[in-house]
Amino acid sequence: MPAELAALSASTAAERESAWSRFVTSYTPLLLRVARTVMHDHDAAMDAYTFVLGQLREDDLRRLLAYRATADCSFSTWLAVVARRLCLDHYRQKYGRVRTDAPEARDAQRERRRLADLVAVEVEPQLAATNPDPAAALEQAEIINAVQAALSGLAPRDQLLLRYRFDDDLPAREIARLMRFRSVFHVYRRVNALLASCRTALAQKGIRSTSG
Amino acid sequence: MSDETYSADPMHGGGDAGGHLDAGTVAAYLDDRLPAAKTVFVEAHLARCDVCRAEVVQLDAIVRPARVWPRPYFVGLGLAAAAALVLIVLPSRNAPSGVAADSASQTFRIRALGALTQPPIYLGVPVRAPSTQERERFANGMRAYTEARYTDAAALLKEVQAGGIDGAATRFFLGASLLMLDDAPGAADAFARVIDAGKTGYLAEAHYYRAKALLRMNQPDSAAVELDRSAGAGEETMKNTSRALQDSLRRARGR
Repeated sequence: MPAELAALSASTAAERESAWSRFVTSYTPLLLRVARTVMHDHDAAMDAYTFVLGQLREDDLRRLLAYRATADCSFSTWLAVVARRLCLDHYRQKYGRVRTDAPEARDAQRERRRLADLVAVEVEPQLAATNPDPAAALEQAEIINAVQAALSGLAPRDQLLLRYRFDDDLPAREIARLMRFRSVFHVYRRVNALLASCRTALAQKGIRSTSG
Repeated sequence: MSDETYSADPMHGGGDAGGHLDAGTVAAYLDDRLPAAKTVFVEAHLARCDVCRAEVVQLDAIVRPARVWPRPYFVGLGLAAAAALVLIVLPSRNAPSGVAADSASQTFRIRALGALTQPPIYLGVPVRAPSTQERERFANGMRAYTEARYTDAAALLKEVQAGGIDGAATRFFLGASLLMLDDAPGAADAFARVIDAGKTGYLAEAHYYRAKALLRMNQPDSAAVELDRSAGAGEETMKNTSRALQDSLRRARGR
């Protein structure tokens, strides 16, 4: 446990006050970074930062002291997660709705952008073109179903990789960092292997890929 | 969406309480401290949950040290190379003959090939260590490395080695730090120790960067051998990079 956190449990009020000041000094840079990530406007970020500090201090530091129960992670990482959630709380309290670019608001969009659709287009580029022919539409649905089945058989890590790559549109460099790949080339190689396995799955169902 | 609504049962019952991962699980995942089975569980959840995935993506950028991406690195060519440059620029006054100037010019070109346009990239792969303290020491060393504080990084990674964590990653990034500090002999030695460790994920790159160190030490024959090995051991990109440097080396030597 970091010294700043341990000191918050001091026996006298004066010591606790002093410990709180040290805590705020130590973790303000982290808390501000988190607040600025959630609230892009400077004033709103400062409001959120103030809100987070208030929430952390509430009920005799109940939230902060809960860290002891979750010590499988570093304190600063845990604090960042808690602070981000508090910032989102603050946003909702203040504005009463989620931002349009918030992940929760993407549900409708998500319906149109199923991972299987996106991967299917990678595997079978001709799917990107809208084809009014009912027979072709049926074939396209068949391909997407086959890809969906192939995806559901993948390991969770591979499914997550494809989500980051095709659904979230993250660059390979960011995926490499997030998923601890050694380089972007390892990301590309794994994605290509997964697409190849989808093509194989299609071939086994008698669907011949045109992309090779 | 407070931490409470996320985490009805923090770190218990799989960490997927009430539809979202609890704060402790997310933090432990970001810190690479989850056991393998739980990591699989978390990644399965992330693959289907936009909210938690967005949280991980956003926080990963905050809690993990910023990467230092390509920056020109042409310092560290050493005083000898600078002296050689003087000989090239002022041949008529300082060089006893045209042969000496040619030789100095070649030395300069070879040493220049040892320069780096960017440091070897660290992507945050944690080291396996028996204790949290040792993992953190390695993490501190790598934080210094990614922040381009190579003197600190080298000192910290030497401490990690002294603590018994002497795997390929520690050796490799110690070599990389020394290379960035223009300690070419130290870097060559550190990369040789990565190579001694046998077939690891760092083998091909260790050959390549050892070649860079050897070029700075004006040892083109040894560097050429290392480049052959990195081309043989690496993936396609490393092969091409090594071959390109081999070609440049041949040109620099006039062969």
